[in-house]
Amino acid sequence: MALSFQEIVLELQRYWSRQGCLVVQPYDAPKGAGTLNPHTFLRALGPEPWRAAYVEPSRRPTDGRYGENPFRLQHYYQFQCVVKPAPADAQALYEGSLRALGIDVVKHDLRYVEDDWEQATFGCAGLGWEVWLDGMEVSQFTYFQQVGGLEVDPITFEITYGLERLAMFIQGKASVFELEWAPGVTYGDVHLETERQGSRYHFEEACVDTLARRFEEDQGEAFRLLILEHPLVYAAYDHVLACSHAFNVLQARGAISVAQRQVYVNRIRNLAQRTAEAFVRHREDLGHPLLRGAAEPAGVA
Amino acid sequence: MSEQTVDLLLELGAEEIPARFLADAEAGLARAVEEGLRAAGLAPATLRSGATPRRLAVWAGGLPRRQADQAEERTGPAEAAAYAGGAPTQAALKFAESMGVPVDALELREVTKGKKTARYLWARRVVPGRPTLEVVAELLPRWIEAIPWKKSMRWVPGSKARFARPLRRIVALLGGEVVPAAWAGVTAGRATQGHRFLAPDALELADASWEAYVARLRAAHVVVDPAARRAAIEDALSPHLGPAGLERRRALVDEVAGLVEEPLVDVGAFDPRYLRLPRIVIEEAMTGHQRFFPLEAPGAGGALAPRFAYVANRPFDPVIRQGNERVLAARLDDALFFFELDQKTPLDQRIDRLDEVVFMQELGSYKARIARVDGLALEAAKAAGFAPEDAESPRSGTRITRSLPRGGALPLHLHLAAQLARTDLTTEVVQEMPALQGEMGAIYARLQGQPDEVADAIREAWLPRGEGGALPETRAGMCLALADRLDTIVCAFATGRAPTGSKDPFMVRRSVLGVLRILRERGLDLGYGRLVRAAVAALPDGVAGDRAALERQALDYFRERLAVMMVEGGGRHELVRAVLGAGRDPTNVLDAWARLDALQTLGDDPGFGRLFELVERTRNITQKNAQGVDAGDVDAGALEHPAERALWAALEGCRDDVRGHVAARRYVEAGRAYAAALAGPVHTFFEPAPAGVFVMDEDARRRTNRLALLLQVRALLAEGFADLAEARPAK
Repeated sequence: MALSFQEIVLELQRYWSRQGCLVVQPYDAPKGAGTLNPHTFLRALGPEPWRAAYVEPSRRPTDGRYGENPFRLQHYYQFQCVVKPAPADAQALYEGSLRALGIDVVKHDLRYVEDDWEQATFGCAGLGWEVWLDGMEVSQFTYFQQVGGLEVDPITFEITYGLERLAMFIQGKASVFELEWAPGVTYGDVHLETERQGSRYHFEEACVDTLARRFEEDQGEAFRLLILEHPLVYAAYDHVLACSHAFNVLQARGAISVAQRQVYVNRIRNLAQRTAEAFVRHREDLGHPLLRGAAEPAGVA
Repeated sequence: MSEQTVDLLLELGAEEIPARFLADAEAGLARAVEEGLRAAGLAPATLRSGATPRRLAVWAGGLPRRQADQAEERTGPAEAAAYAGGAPTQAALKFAESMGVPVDALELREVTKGKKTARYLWARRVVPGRPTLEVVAELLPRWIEAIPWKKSMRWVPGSKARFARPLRRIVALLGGEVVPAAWAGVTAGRATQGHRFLAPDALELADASWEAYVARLRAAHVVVDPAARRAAIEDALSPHLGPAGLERRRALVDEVAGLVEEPLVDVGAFDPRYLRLPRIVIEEAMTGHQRFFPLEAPGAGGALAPRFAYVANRPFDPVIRQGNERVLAARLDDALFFFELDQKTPLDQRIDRLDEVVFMQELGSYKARIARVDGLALEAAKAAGFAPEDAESPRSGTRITRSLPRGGALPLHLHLAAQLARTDLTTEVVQEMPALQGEMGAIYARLQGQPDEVADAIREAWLPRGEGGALPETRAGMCLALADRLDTIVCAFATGRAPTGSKDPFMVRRSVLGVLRILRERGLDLGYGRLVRAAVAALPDGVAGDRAALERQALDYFRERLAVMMVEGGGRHELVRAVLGAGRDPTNVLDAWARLDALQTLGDDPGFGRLFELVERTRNITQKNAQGVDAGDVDAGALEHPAERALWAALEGCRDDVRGHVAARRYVEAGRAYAAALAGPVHTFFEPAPAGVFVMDEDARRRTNRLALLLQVRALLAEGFADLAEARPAK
């Protein structure tokens, strides 16, 4: 019996927990990728060690297909794992996670194929691979080099599993909606309607004026929080995420002209960089608590 | 390996190195090792190398076991400074110390410095050679750092060390000994590793034998030699692809050979219903992301079969084939979905969507660009003689009209194609498969009832795609391809994106080469100067800036590339210069090439070769002295000296003939008529008086007359053919 969708998530959580990762929870703000969860974006900055794993819903408004395409979703799930500093056995750890899911990597054709990663809006870039399993891309593997426009050291490595892809591989399904979420319940039962409505909302109904106004308000608020004498980094970052999501919806709605697009991107990048700088200072002020006595990072055994 | 020599084996084991980096990295490392050893006096007798995604290997065979001892001789301070009252001075002591010899071993020798001969201190010492092991240990980090990566990364905390992906293992053996070296926190050892999954255990190597290294790895599912992997893949593919198919997929074979350590070629199948898709879409779905090889059905006139070949990194297992088949099915399903979706919105309804696709930030969207390209394409058609000079575009701007304009069908086709050419950027298939830009536009245009000429032009506007790529075949395609490139080129120059040695984000260099190739290889008899001027004129005011300067900058760049192209095509430097500095329209590529060919032919005529020097002399003397003198200043009645009268008569006698030949582009004949008439008289003219004339006569009138005469000699050939003053090889 192949693992169900929820068992895959549970197995990955157990596995990475055994590797000393904190199993943290999805962050309660819409975002385009698991990397933007503060457990990755902020923790990848500065000298402190960090290990975490979590599921993250990713919102890609322009990828919506009204539930009619078997592979494309405007809302899907990533399983994300970050380890800083990147360990020398990063690849072996990843392969171990596939074994934990019952995939015999010796029997399959597993390959690491060049695929560098960039998230220009948040000033992030890294080098790595997409991981092929018998020709199917199931994960993205990245060594961060830059986060929030800042060169990072030590380097964080990040694994992003496309949970639906991985489940399709494990369950041998040709459509995401046919995946078994749990016995008797399909992915489609859970998400077909959310896909239909999400696509309609993003492409047809989202109120452009409201979103544009919210972008301005969130940008203003993030900026204000960052220039306080003692900046409120986390609250500011929430508003940066809100800006980024509003921008993505506006784009799906076809409401951003070419000239405006770059302006929006620059504004978000500027905020993301200021937030990153503020976070680095903030951890310095705290005296880098996670460095304290910790040859072993802040994991739970 | 003999008693006196020893072999060096070096392997750098890394996490998967990108396939496209491997060839340069392998060669770069081998070069660094060889040059490093040679410079250290340890030149290897033999060098071998290998590369897989997980390792770079170099073997240097037949190294001396230690460096040879080096004798060093040096001259020190002069005698006067070396001894005071018979005792060695501080300077003498220092010199002895620096040479590592006792002071009484110093000698005095006579040395000549300049015009002076004096006695100086002199010493000789023997610098003992160091053991090879020690030298290699010292050099190894530098070799690693010399590898040329297209892109590299950091991964060691607090270190600046860079490699393509994290370096995890160094094998460095000199004979049986491990080289005591380390880099980026990795210490060299003797253990390598086989295939990631099939032979993960450490393989201890006894010594630096290349044969043993290759054989041990082969047994551990790794083929170290990239050429051997390529050959294995080609052998297995060739029954399916045939020699032509294999040739066509050469780049893909190379890439795939860099993605595996132990290649296995297998064939999978897909549902024939996907064969409804355009062939190029199926092929792109296979080759673009999956690196699969499309196969043709035997005896079906080259039609695609519902099968594909793929290369795995391990021996066959049915689950691998199933997995690859499933992935391809998903991609083809996706493509079919998009292909059908795209057709719900015809191309002409997509023009407004181009407003969302940025061309260059300062210049707005692709939609804003359409009118410029439309106008330029018509200009190119006129310049090429495909349309009359009074031809009109049906309508400028971005509205489509289908009425037949003045100038006939071509202007209409150009107009339609210019409107639609980039609309496929907004289609789902192109967003998924950017390599199909232009191809999809043509396919959709045909499906939507556009004339073939329009569909072909949409496709051909992208040609040539790469250096040496196929060129447009149709008139409309050529004009649109020229227009598209010229707009890109002048826009890049206008916005400060001129190509530099390392940066050329808009691929201006490639665009210019494309223009030159189309003009030459399609035999278009027109000057690019006219098109550059039109492209500059079409720019919006805010962007163009100083239009004259912009035009000059673009023209200079074109001329520079044309010169490079001509030299690469076998033209001699000086002849290319002579040709590009002359002519009625030096920007006419076809004409410039004809003139170059003629000049090369004439250069072999003994009578003509002599002219190069003579015309160069006319330039040298007029350059310095003929300010304010006009070639037309010759006063024939005032010519006195027989040599100058003879030269004038020769000029008068051949002028019409030469010009007639030039006008008819009979350049060889023009050159011969010129040489026959003028070689003798010019030679005599330059003879010392009294046979020749003294040009710089004190009498101003005489002097002006003679200088004007010489200006005419040079100009007669330069005005339409070649400036011979430039044509002499540099000494």
